[in-house]
Amino acid sequence: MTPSQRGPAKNIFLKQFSERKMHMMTECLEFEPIEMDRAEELKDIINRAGRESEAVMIEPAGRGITGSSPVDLISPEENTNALVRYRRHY
Amino acid sequence: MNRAEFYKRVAGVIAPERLQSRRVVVIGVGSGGSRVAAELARLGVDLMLVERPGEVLEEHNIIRHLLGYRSLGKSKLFELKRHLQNLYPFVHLTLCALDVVEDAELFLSRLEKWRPDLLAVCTDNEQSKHAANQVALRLGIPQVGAGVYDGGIGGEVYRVRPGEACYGCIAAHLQLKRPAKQQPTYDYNGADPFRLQSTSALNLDIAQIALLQSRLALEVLLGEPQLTGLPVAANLLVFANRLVPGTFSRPFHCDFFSIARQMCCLDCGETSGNLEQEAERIVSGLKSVAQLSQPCS
Repeated sequence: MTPSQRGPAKNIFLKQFSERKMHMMTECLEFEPIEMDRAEELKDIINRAGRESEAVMIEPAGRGITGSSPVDLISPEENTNALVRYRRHY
Repeated sequence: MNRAEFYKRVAGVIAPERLQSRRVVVIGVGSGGSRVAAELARLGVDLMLVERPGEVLEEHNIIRHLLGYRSLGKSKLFELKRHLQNLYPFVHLTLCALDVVEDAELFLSRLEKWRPDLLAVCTDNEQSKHAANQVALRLGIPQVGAGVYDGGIGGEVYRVRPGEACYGCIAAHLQLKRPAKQQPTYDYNGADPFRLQSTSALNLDIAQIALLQSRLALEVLLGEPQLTGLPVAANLLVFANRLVPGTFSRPFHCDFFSIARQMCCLDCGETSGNLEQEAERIVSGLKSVAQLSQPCS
């Protein structure tokens, strides 16, 4: 590939990258260091879930980790259904 | 064959004459279905064996299948027929090579003529279980089905009686994904997830669940809870083959569940019988909304 051929390709890449970056900036929040109260809350939730064999509840579009809940074999909630991750075979 | 001698060791436990005229369709004759068929055939139940056309026993099947090396490369249906006739020479067998998903109407017409008492659903994918469910619902036939979890850690057996929660209700409750019908694709780079239907499990993992399914099937045929004593309301049992932290806290343990019928079920719910009317109602609603949203001239 000659330098003249490489040039336009690079430009296209940069254009796509800047568009994606703009898109990401509208979708995502800026990173911020976690506050101490929230860190303590997360530590309690995760430790309790581990101790009690519970499922950690996560709201991906909301607060993130929100709490823990007992796991049930056939819970109608996907988050707490212990069997949902297994496929069925025969 | 001496029938009195043949049934001598089950006398007092089960009355085989009560099963002689009963008819069961076994859908899928893989490692699970072949065992269910064998248990029912031994007791003289008439069977229709259903399997996809062209299914032959492959070497990787043998470690978990009822059939062995003598049947390698041969039709699963014909070889299983030979095997079952060896177990009980008077067994009535009907072989049916069709795909219950692709040939749903043909399957329905075959069952309308054969008039079974029960469907034993022994397939390994959701599409075929729902296809069997829909046919069973249309004909008012009870079903007993099963599945083994990834790795053979355990399995589930379900029972569907007409008018109660169907497989669609149970699958919706269990959050089982119902993949859309896939067009055949050619993927030369990796495994197609819709065709990836089997995973590692021991023969005994599958046999354990298949025997539970057979027991439940026999109980449905007999019409009394004499083989399990399972409460009438229970329509799902989950059996742990082994201890799995976070899933099964006890090995060799069975849990029983009663899953209620779901009114929004795609198979048996309120709108399932008149989907076209429902579609027309939605379209007319959308049209009226579109008219209202048009700017006034």
